[in-house]
Amino acid sequence: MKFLKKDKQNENIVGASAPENEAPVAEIVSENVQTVAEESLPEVPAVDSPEQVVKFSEAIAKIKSELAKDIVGMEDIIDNVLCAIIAGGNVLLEGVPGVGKTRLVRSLGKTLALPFSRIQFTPDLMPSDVTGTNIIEQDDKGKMNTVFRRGPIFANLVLADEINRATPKTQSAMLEVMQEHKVTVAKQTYPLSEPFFVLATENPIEQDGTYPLPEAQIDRFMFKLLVGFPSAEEIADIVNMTQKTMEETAESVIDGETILSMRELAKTVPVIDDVLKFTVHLVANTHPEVDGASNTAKKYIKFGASPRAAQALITCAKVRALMHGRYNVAYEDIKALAYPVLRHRIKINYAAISDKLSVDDIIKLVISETK
Amino acid sequence: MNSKFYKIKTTHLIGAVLGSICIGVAAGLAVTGIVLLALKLSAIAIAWGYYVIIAVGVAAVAGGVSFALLRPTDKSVAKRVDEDYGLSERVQTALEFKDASGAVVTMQREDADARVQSLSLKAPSVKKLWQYPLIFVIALAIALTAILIPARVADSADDVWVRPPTPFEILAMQELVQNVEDSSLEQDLKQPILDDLNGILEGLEQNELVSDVMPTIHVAMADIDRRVKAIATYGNFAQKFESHLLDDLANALKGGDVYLEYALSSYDLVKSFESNLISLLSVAVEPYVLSMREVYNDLDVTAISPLMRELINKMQAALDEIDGNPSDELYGVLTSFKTNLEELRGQITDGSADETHFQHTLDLMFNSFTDQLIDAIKTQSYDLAMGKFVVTRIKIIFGIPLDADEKDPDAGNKDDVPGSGDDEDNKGGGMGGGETIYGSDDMIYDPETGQYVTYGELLNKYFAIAQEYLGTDELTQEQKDMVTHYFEILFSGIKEAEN
Repeated sequence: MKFLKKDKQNENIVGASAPENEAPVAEIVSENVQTVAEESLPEVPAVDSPEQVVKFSEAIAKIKSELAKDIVGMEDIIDNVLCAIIAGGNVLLEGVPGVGKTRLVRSLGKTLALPFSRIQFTPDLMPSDVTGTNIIEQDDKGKMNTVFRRGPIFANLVLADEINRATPKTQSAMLEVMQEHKVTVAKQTYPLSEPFFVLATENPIEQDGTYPLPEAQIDRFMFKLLVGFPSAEEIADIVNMTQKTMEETAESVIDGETILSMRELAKTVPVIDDVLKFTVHLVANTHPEVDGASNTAKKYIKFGASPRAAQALITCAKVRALMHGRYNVAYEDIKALAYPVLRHRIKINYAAISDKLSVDDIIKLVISETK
Repeated sequence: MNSKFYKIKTTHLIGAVLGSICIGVAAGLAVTGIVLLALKLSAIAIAWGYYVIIAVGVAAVAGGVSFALLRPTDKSVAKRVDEDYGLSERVQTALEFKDASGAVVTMQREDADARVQSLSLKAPSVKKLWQYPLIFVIALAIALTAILIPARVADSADDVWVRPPTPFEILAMQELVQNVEDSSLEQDLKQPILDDLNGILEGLEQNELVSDVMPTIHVAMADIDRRVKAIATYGNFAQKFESHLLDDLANALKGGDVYLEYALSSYDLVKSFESNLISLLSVAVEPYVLSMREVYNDLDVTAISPLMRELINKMQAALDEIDGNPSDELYGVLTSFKTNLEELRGQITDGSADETHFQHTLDLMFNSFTDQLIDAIKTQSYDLAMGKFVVTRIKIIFGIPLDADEKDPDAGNKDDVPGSGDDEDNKGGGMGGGETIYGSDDMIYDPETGQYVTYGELLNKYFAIAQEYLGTDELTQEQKDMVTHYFEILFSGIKEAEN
């Protein structure tokens, strides 16, 4: 087992806490690609100060308070979505239509004061419908120019609704943007503004007219959250709330810069070796093919989670620790986050299905077997 | 970390020390108990000191290893504090990042510090503490079981004596005492032997097991053997004369070993041996004295003188080395013989010797020496024979293995004393109908009478009893034929041996 290196000087996990969307633009520009500075990155303020820690807690409380005006229940979903946003990851929401997924994202957009766009994925949706395309436009002088018309992906907060209804080609275009935080059209690269966050929804794959996301692409989502059906009391509250207006009433409480500073602050949360080892063992234990694999993995798992899972667990655990008023990562953070992080990265086999075990049941078993 | 943390650590250290002591003592008890149990079940006994060494050694090693494993470190204490007080790895993180800088890390340390400081220390977990006394109690139970369980008696030859004395043993011992009293042993030898034998008898009457008397029996045998050998000086004299090249004289003295040639395992044989001892010794001693005498035959006085002087000098040298006891009869005989030789040679030297009757004088002197020598050796040889008889009887009575030169009369040996078994008078006995049945002369113990009788007598007695049943209807014809055939085989075997 090879453990991740820890650089205590910077309190970072090398290779684990540098999200893919934070790669310097200069590094990904080839000589044939011209980089267009669409919007300059906001300057990151000094993050590691007691004041920032206090502000972090206040910001979380404010966001939750505003979201509560538009969203009924869904506390765990909101917590995990906020965790993913601050950690710099994307979230895949799975749930039947009408349970508030879109409303959650719209309300988040308002609360965070970030540009918001929604893409409804359909089988005939083309990649250019997502990323944008070059069009020929005549200027005042009558000269014909090629102009890049940005797609809906150019926003800070993107709702990819029913992503598994689009064809794999369009899904790939979307997921590539999620990975690289830039769009390349006709040899020109257009970086997206930070923070960039995609919240995708998908219908259960058992439904007709869906294209399941491939394992390699679904791995790009930091979390997969299951939005359950609300309880009777919650439905009643939803009905009452929407009788006055269907519009979201949440107000903007923080901006993008604050989110980026919160992200930087979270990176400084210390993680002890034992917790780090536990995390790595947990991910390794989902692999049936490795030496010393857990019994659960050998019996019920077809494919295990990728190393991105360990990265996501540690990154999000730091955020979760701060959200819970703690300044260190604990085992409980890892165990709590194991479900949203691992659930879409583990492929169970027929033995698990035969034994009527869900992915979450398998994760619970793996956690219990990890020391 | 603050003082509270180190207070907790001290508590853990004390717990580790006590736990290590408990484990060490328990391990010492348990291992020693297991070893003791194993050895007891294997009927192996070792000194208690070894058990003490094992116990102390194991306790030291186990205690040391336990302390090395249980010894609390800052990290282990931090982990325990986090677990015991639900601090979500705060203390471990503060300890691991104690030298790191940064606001979050600093706040983390302060947070952990404050939480540890505010802890109200719990009493040590009963769940974790009860295991040490339990281990100790289990080990103590093993040790006590090992101590209290009786040791298995070894499956050795000694087992045969773990039983009460039989009437035969007591009866045979009483008979042996009587034999010694009736014997011709010298009084100063007889009484100590009787004391030894009576000691065995008392032991048999006072103890429940023969095994308890065995030490007394072995001591008695060794004492008897030592005493009879102490009075037998002829062997020592023979050795000295042999070393001075007086071979004939040495061989004459070795005639005392005549008792070794016979199986004196019954008192009848001893008595028979005694009655024939003079003649036995005559055969063993006389030829060698005669050989000494023959050296001077047909020589004149002048020629005899240097030969006699050489003999005298050699005897003197040997006797000087012996430094014998004047009260020893054999020593007196030898000294007297040497003196007579010196006187005779003096007569030769001063010319007063009667040359005409000199050879006759020599004959008288050597004949007298022969008689005196046999008389002196006879007493020693008898004492040795009697001593050997007593020791052999004790061994036979109690079933102690005999030495190579000892013979059991029940084993059917034929080395009886000359004149005691081969004459017709001793062959067999009569049976019903006046028919003479031949029997062996071997002495055998008759359990019914407690007396030693010849094998033939006992066989006749048993056959007479068998004949009573053969004349009744209590046995089937087949059984009668079988019994008749059995005795026919026995009798025919004895007849063949006699023929």
